[in-house]
Amino acid sequence: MSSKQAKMKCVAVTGLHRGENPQSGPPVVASLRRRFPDLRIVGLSYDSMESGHYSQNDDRLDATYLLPYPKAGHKALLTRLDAIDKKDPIDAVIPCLDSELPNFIKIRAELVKRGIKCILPTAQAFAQRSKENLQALCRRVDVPTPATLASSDPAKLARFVAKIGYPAYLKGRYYEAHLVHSPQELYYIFNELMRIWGGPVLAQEMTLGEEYDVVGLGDGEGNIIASCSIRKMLRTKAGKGFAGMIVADPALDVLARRIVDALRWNGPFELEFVKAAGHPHKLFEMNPRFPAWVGFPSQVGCNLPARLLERVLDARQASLRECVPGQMFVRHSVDLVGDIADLAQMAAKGERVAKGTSTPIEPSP
Amino acid sequence: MLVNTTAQVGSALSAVNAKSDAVRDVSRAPRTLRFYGDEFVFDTVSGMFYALSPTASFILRALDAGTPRDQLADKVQRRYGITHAAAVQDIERLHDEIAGIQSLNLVRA
Repeated sequence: MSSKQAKMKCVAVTGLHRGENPQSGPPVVASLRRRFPDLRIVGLSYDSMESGHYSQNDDRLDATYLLPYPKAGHKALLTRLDAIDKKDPIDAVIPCLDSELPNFIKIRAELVKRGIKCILPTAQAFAQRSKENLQALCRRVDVPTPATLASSDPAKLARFVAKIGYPAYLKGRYYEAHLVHSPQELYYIFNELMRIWGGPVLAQEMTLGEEYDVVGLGDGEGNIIASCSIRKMLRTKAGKGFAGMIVADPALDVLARRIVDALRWNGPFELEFVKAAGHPHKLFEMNPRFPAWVGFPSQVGCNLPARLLERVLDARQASLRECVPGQMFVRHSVDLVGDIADLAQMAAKGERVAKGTSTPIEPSP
Repeated sequence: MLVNTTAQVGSALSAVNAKSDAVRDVSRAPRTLRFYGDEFVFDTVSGMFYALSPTASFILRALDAGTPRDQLADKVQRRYGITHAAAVQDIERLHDEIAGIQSLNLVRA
């Protein structure tokens, strides 16, 4: 029996920061702990200031390791994972960031050889749902989508926006969306997005309306294993949902099924729709991972990260509750306490093993 | 006037007019409205919720119970002792103010 089979299962999770642009790693960790209290969970991150390192709550980590940034490429990622796996054998990995997924997809076969399991979409499915290809996919499967153009030429984008009308969204390849009101603003934002994310930049028609999101798990054969749909009730300036309400809309379910079926999507996804009253939902983005609000459905019995891990490890599958319309979440930010010694350890060694949970005690005066 | 009472509806929410040309039999539509007393309604399809006046609540409850559109104005007229034209106008206005409720689109002519 290998050392991996003999010991407690260990899962690695990425995307640990819960700042103003919250990532889904911590709620994935909390969801896994809810279902598997004895699971060993290690965090993989890109910066020692990612907030998840310092949590001692239900999203706490048993150890954390720094990874090279995604732009270092898949070989650098594999080399680092090999070093981590040697020290802290990993049974499964759950990537939670868009930008790292191409690297994980490239090293999938190598991970399997090492006994590290993961569920990922195919490279083709990943590309087809990308921002620059989404419009073509939506046309093919009859899903409404806002008019979009992807280009690395700002003049082309300016001509396109002049046609669809200002204001319009300008979006980075992986992250960031800005509303632009004039050609001057368009050129300025274009340069910023190109500098940070590279090309292409997307120009997208602005649709006024309510935003609806669907989180789910695809089985790789065209089916949705389980999903939860919400209306975003509160949005930050960056469009991040800080409150949401479960809805049961058959029209939304039909559109989600069309996309997942067309892509034969394997693993977690988030579909983002906008809907003007009296008009159909328009799909404006498909994220290839769990969203930051995935901890909400898991708290009401639809634990999608746990189901993903059950599939990854071929474990017995617990039943999932249907998400009931009217259940809602409101995000609540908290302050985590850390110590400079923890930060020093992460910064100097690129890793930190937790000393165990502690109950916060009010210090004596 | 019914208008005054319905004006309270959805004050904090967007009131974009719905333009649906579908006329369907509302009695066959699944019930999607959840009432919390007479002053609050939640639409399980759209996730929209509204603070209601008693009159708006009466109209929505009637719609949710499957009252056909051509009988709705009669009901409102009888209940509030207003003219038929005023009842029709107020129902239209209510519809426009809470266009986010999906089941209302089913009865828009």
